[in-house]
Parts: sequence; structure tokens; C-alpha cells
Amino acid sequence: MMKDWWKSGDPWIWLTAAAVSVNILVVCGLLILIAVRGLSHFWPTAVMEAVYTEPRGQESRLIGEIRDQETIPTARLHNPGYEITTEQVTRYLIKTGNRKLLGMDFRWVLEPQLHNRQYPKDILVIEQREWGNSYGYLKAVKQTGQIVSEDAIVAVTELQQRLQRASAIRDQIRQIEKYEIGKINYRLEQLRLYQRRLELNNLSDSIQLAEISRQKTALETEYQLLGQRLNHLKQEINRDSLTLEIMDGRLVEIPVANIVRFYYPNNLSLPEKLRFYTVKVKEFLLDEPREANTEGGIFPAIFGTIMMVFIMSFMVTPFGVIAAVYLREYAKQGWLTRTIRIAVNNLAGVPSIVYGVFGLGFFVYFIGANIDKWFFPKLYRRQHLAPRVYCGHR
Amino acid sequence: MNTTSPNPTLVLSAIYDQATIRRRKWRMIKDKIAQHSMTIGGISVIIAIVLIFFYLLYVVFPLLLPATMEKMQQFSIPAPTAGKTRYLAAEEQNEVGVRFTDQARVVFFKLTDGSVIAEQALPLPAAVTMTQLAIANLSTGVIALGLSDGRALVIKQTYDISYPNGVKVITPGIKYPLGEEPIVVDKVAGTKALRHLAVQLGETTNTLAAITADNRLVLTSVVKEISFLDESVTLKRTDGVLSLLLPPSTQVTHLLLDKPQRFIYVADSEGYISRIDISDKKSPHILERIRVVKAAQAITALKFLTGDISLLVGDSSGKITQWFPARDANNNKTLRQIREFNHQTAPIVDIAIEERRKGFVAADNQGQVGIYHSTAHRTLLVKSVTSGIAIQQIALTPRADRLLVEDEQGRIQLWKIHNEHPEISWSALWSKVWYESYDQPEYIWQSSSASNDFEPKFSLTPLAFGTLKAAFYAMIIATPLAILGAIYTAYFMAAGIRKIVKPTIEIMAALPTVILGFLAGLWLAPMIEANLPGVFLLFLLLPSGVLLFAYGWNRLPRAIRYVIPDGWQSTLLIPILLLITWIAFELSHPLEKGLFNSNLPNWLTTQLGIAFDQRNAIVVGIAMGLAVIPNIFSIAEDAIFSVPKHLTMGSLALGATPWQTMTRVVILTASPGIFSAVMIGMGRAIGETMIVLMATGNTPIMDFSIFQGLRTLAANIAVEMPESEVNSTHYRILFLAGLILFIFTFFFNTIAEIVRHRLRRQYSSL
Repeated sequence: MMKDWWKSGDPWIWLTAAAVSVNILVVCGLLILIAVRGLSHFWPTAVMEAVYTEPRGQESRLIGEIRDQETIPTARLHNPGYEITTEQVTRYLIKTGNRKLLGMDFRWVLEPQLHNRQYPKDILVIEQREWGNSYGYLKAVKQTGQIVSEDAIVAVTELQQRLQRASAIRDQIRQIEKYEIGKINYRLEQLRLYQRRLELNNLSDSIQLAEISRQKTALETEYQLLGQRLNHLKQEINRDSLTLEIMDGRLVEIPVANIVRFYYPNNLSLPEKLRFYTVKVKEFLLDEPREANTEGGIFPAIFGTIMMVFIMSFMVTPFGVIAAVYLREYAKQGWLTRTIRIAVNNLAGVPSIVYGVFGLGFFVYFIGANIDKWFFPKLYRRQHLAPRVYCGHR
Repeated sequence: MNTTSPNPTLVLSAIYDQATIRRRKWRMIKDKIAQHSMTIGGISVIIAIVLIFFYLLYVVFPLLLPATMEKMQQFSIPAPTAGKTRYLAAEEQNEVGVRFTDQARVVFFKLTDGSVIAEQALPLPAAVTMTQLAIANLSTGVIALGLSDGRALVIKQTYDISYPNGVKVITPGIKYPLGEEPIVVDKVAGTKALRHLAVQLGETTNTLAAITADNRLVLTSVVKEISFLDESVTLKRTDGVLSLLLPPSTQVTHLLLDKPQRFIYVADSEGYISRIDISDKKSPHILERIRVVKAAQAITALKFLTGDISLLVGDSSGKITQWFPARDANNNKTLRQIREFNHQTAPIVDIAIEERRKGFVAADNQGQVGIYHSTAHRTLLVKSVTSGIAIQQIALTPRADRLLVEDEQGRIQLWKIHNEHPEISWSALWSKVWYESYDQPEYIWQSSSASNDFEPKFSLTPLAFGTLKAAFYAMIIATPLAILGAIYTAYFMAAGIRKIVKPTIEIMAALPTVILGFLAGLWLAPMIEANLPGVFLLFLLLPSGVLLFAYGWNRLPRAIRYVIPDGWQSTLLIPILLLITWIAFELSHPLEKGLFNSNLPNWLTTQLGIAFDQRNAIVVGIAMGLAVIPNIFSIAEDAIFSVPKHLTMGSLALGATPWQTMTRVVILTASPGIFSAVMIGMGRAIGETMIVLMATGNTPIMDFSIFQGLRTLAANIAVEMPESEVNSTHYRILFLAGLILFIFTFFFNTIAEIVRHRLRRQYSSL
């Protein structure tokens, strides 16, 4: 029976079938892995409060998100500081936030040392522009140092309004810094170039110079006005702050200007969570990065990628189409076209790093280094005149 | 035109009508324009392709060029009354030359015409003459003069560059780092002249070594100690003496002291070199005395190669040999001959060392100079420069692009040297090379360091090896999975599922490899390290489990079996495979605990002596295998699927089982296609960059172990290109690596393409 089955070749067919299944599983598994790991990142995690027994016996309050969990052999813990009787021990990676105050964002804690785990509804998470997340309890909202509200519910609405105000001011600051000052700088640069052109062509006369310097002073006054407005706005944006009680019981002042958003993670309903998720994904796709690319969005990278693809298609597509039409319709079919076809197909297989090396060498170091010489030979030579050499003796 | 009653004359006149002719002409012109622009477009694409290849070649080509030199100037010795030249040198900017004469005078002169800039007598005590001159090392410009009363004067050349009024001015000068008062070197013999002298000034330690007339070695070392409390400087002098115990009537010919002030080398008139350990300055001792030239030949020149590790020995037969201490078979460090250069025939009179590379120039007494490079074991040029007149002195400028030659008839010649890439030779790139301080020749890639003394190690062998190793492991994973999968998909699978399965697998080709590399490095590598037994178990359990299940399925009653139609096996297997995977990983930890001391990687290292890297060939094999599977699968599947149906039908009708038809008919017919699929997969695996960059650890080692990392040519380019200096040897070697990759992949792809063309013609004839 077994022998017959073996002889029929059936087992081999099953093995080939298994190969297909493995391929499919791997492809799907990979896509699912990427999707799950990537997309779950923005889902609001519940924030836990617990009592943790430190190695030396004292108890401390821990507030944070459980980010990872693993079960490891006890032997792998070098000098844990506890008596652990079990062979395996579970430990959690907890994001405690408050990096500025606690010195670290994450810490590993052992499961047996964690008691009284609870998820209070009024734990507040504050996403900051600098120094990462902050976790704690909202105690008060202040305006220029004076307490506006201490009641939790009123404080939240107050905070919401003040956050909107701060972000409006931030937009104004950005508008001034990026566009209005930029415009002045551009016009100053144009003036400088104009003056330089006049000098180079020996056309500068006193009237024109006076006109240039008049325009310059006008621009500089404008610039100073903008600077004053900017200073005023920066004072305004720093008006409000809030008081937060963090996990070690300290009360911390956080300026509203430093807040991106705040939320009560344990008090979010499903629609609210979904809304939060969408906002986060939108931020990721459309915002600029913050905090050395660890927070915020990836819009510049997306923009760069798409830009590159556009430029590439724009420059290459005509070439490709024309070459294809030529090969198919115009060229005499023969060994030459066959060779060309093989060569073109081959190019698809040439490693991209080779194109990278070529691009760097040819376009950057070869054309880039010589383009001035080709187009502005006069200026180029003037710059590269070797200075005369004298030798003296001391 | 009237179509109802055709009138030939009317038709003809319509054809030859002016407007029609014009239109026809215009049409022809348009056609011509289109044809030409198409041709130009087509050809320009080909030009672009060729451009890449030739540009790479253009960058690489200078590596192959030999050195050249051309004569720039010739003048008679500047200030001949100052005495005979004892030491000749030139400064960094190639503008000022200097000669130190036997009358203790210094003459600075212009290199352009030999006119004297300055001449100066060194401050010697009255009635004392100079007997010896020793050079510390080239980059510091420190020189010691041995005096007739047994003392020594240490001087230093300086070249200050200033830009008064925007014009460069070089001001040469002399300084006295240890004071203008000569130092007593030989405390015992007192005022007898020193035979040989050597000097090294370090940051805290300065050492003078000398050979006396009775063949003793005397050492004087001054250590500068800076007090921690008040930062006051105290100088501590240590003296040492050692009798060289040379045979009678043997004379010392050369004395060298290395830069770290640890070893002294003494050459004598019998052709021996003594290596002396002076790390303890009070009691130097001889380590060995070894013969470095053949019998009846003498040592005529002895210099350190830059870095002061290797000795270059020029002998009276014109041969130059390189020596440095290395461990021998008995694990003793002895001076060993590393390589020899045999391109000159007359006695070597002087060797000039390149300051920043491991190259040197040797001159012989028949007027020939040779340019050499030690690591590459390359003789770049041998040229007669004085038409037979003996050379006395040669000097290289610090940038090694000018050579000063002084001949016996009192002329100085200035030669310009073009020698951009002496470091490269076939053997330096591909063979084992005996690098300085290594005990045997090895393959090493270690391209750069911050120090000038560093010997660059440009062996492409470990990189090519790494490339092939990565490709090999990737192909081991990818080929069976892809080809078996292709066989089933093309031949056995139900048509309905095939429509879904094929594109699904091909999706993976669209996945950027950077994602695969990222996952492999950050997720797969730690995962495999933590579950190593599980991974091996998986490779074992998968095939056996599938066969077991298949057998069990075969024994099931028909009623159940026929629920699942033929061609659906793979769907049926998916839960089984998941189950097997789960079992393998569940068993991983118990197995590790039971058999491998609960840590397999550690166990491998301690019990079997196999080093384990987290980012190793298994990770690369799996990750790159996944990247290659869709390529191979797609082409192989096409090839199998397009095997004409009448062949398989015929085979089945004659009574062959489906599997027999598969192996005897289908695979045979499709084999060229499968072959070309594997070739294309191979080409892709060789050139893949991002996966190997992120998942291999990039260690350029030659070890075929699956637990070790590697570095590929492509990853090496990605890692080192951003920091390599444009047009340096390193830069060109990276381009060479690119060219090699280009040729590698072009080779594999061309084979695949040609085979595929054949196959297509073959099918069309069936």
C-alpha cells in the first residue's frame, strides 16, 4: 500500500503543493505582519496605574502604557534583586513617558512585583512638542501663573480652548517666520545681487547706490517691526500652562504651547478611539517630523518619494517608449535588435547600487564639478588663478 | 472625385493634382522626421546603456596605469662651497628644497631653478666637526647631527606659510627642539666620534641611539614628565649601553630606531641585521641577528617603510627586500622576509620613502631609479635618470609627486612623478597579501583609517566571497520553494485558484527590499536567535509533516477524499503548515532547555566552538530568498505552463501517471525556462543591496558558516561610498566593485535571456 502510494508520485505532488502553500503563507504573513505592526502603532493604548515593588523593597507608583511583554527563563535575569522561585518570569516593557523628569521613557518591570493594577479613567496623556509624552493627573489650568480652574471637568474645556488659542498663535508665528521674513530676505538678496551686478559692470553711480541703500533701510525697518510682532506673539503663546501630577507624585508645570494634544486614554469610547486613530494617521501622513524624526509625520519623505518618481517618469518615459517603438517598428530585425533587446532586458537586472554609483560619479562629481567650467569659463578661470609665490628667509 | 463613373484621366489628374502631391510630400517628410527621431531615440537609449558601462570603466581605468615620471629641471648643486650633501629633502608645497652638508651647513634652495634662498651654518662648538647625520622621521623634519666629540645636536626644519597681501610666502627655518647645546650621547668614551646615530622625538619621550667606534650601542633617552600638581616639567634622562658582540673586523653600516622607540635595527658589513629591544632604555637586549642578504652581497641601503614597522633592505645586487617581525611556526617573533623586488641590477645606493603611502623609490649606482609599492608588491616604473652616472642621493617630497636626484657629478635633477594608484595590483585585490604586523598572508578588506601610517587592505576577495555566500544561501531557500511551487501552480493546481495564487506570489516582487531588510534585521534576526532550535525543527518537520499528512489523507475513505477536488491540495495544506509551524516553535524552548543548556547560540559557541552572530547567513538566506522567490516563480511558472498541452495529453493517454508526465515530459521541455529563471534569481541575489546591508552585520570575513555574518560588494559600496574621497584609490575600487557587479549580473542575465530566446523558438516549432 505504502509502496504503491510512493510509486504513484503522489507524495511529490503533495510536496509541490506544500511549496505553494508556504509561498502564499509567507507573502500573506509578511503583509499581515507589516500591517499589524505598523497600523496598531496609532491605536490609543490604555494607561495603567500600578504599585511596583522596587528591588530594595520600597513601593512606588507606576503610570504608563504596556508596550511589550515577554516570558524569559529566570536564569537570564542577571542579579534581579528579587527572590524568584519560578523558572520562567514574565516582564513588561512599560512606557512611563515624562522623559524630561524621569530620565527615561521606557522601563522593564517584572510581573510578580506589580500589584494593584488599575486603569483610572482620569489619567491624562499629554503629547508634547518636546520631550515626548507625559502621563499623570490634571490638577489645574493656569493663566500667567494664576489658577483658572481646578475642577477636572471645567479644566478640560478650559484647556481645550487654550490649546486652540495657542495653536492659532503658532500658525501666526509660522506665517511670519516662514513667509513674511522670508520675503524680506529674498528682496534684500535681490538688492545685493543688483548692487553686485552694477559693480561688476562698472555702472554704479551715487544715485543708484543711494536708492539701493534707501530700499535696504526700508526693508530693515520692516524686518524690525516683524521682529517686535514676533516677540509679542511668543509672549502670548506662553501665557497658559497646566499642572500635572506625575507618577512619583511631583506636580509639574507644562506650558500649553508645548502641547500637541491631550486625551484620557482610559475614558475613550470606540468612536472616540477611531477618531483619535484617524487623527494620528493623518498626522503621520501629512505632518512634518518632530523631535529628530521620532514623532510627528513623514510628509517630507512621502513628498520626496513622489517627487522623485514624477521626475523620473517625466524624464525616462519618452525615452523608453521611443526606444520600444524603434526596436519594434523601425529597426531592421536582426542580430543588432536582438542584442539590444537582450541588453535592455538585462538592464532591469543590473543592481540599483550600480546605477547609484554611476549617478553619484557621473552626475555629481563629473558633470557637477565641471558645469561651471563649461558654462562660465571666464569666471572659473578667475577663481582658480594660482597666487604668485614668494620665498623669503627668516 | 467622381466615383460613380471612373474616368481614368480624372483619377490620374487627381493623383497628380498639385494639392495631393504637396500633401503626399508633407506626409513623406513627416514620416521621415518620425523615422529619424525614432532612430535617434532608440540609439540614444543604447548610448545611455553603453555610457554607464564606459563611465564605470573610465573611473576604474586609472587603477591599471603604471607610474610615469618626467624631468622638470636640472641644475648644479646650489651653494657648492657649503660642502657635500649629506641629506636632501623638500617641503610639502614642492617649492623649497634643502640640503644638509658635511660641513654642518644648511642650504635652502628653490626647486624651480636651484637658486639659493638661504644658507646657514649650524651652531657647532668650536673645533668640533660633524661626523654623522640621522633622520628621525620624514613627517616631523627632525634631524640629528653626530659630532666629532661624541655629542649630538638635534635640529628641526620648519616651513612657515603666510599670506602677506594675499600672496603665499614660504619661510624656511631651523629650530632646536632640545636646545642649541649639543647633547652628550656616549658618557663612557667621552669625546670619541660617534660612528652611527639615530634619533626619534616623541610626545613625551625622546631617544638618541648611537654606535661607537668599538661597536657599542649607546642609548640616551629623555622622558618629559609633567607634574599633576603644578604642571611643572621635569626631564628625566636614562642611559643604556649594549655591546653588539659583532665578529672582529665587522663594521656597522646602518642604524635605525623606530618611531615608538621600542626597537633598534643594526645592519653590519657581513649582511646581518640585529634586532634590539629597547623598550627598557636602561638595559637594551639583542633579540636576534639574522642574515638578510645572500652570501657575498652587502647591505647597501636600509630604511623603514612609513610606519616604522617594515625594513627595506637594498643590497649590492640591486635587490630590495621587505622584512618585519612576524610569528613563525614555533610562535616566535622573528624578522622575516615578506617580499622582494628584483627589478634593478646595480647596487642600491639610496631608498626614498613615501610619507603617506607604503611606497618607496630606490636608486642604484648606475643611474636607475625604481618606483615600488610594498603592499601591492608592484614595481611601477624603472627608469634610467642620469644616463649611467651613479646617483648619490634621492629625496621624495611629502606628497610623493616630485623626486630630487643628486648624482656624482654634482647635479640635481627634479622629476615629476605621476603615481596616483600604486596600491592596486591583481594580487592586492584578489590574492592573499602579507600585511604589516600579520603573521601570515591573509585576505582582508579594511579600507581606511585616520592615520597616515595605516596600510590600506584592499582585498576584494572577502567581499566577493560574501556576495556569493549570501546568494548561495538565498538560492538554497528560494530555488526549491519557487520551482516546486511553480510546478504545482502551473500543472496541478485548479485553474480557479491559480488565478489568485500567481498574482499573490508575484506581489512580493513589488515589495521594496528595504522593507524586507528592515524586517529581517530588526524582527527576524532576534526572533531566530531566540528560537533557533525551532527554526531548525521547522526545516525538518515541514517536509516530513506534509508527507505524513498526505499519506494519512490517502488512507482516508474515498467519500471524504472526494469532497476536496484535485488541485486543491495546497489550500488543504495551509492549516496543516500553520499547525506544524506552531508545533516547531512550541517545541523550541523545551528542546533548547533539554539538549542545549537552554541557550543554543551560547551552546554552539561554548561546546562546538562555532561563533554565533545574530545577523547571520540564515537571516540573509531567508530574507533574500523571499525577495528572489517571486522572480524565479514567475518565470518558471510561465515556462512550465506554456509547455504545449498535446505533449502532456499524449503522455497521459499512453498511461503515464501525472507525476511521470511531469518529470519525464513537462520538466524536460521547460528546463531551459527553469534554468533561466534560476539565473535571473541568482543575478538579483548577487546585486541585492538593502537586505544584505541591514541583515548581515557587514563583517567582511571569509567564513562559510551559516551562523556568521558577511559583507557583500553591493553593501560595501553603500556603506563606504559616502565617505570615500573623490578620485582616491578607495573611490576607484568602489567603482571597480560596481563594475564587477554590473558584469556579474549582466553575465547571469544574458545567459538567462539567450536560453529563453532559444526556448521560445523551440516551443514555436512544437
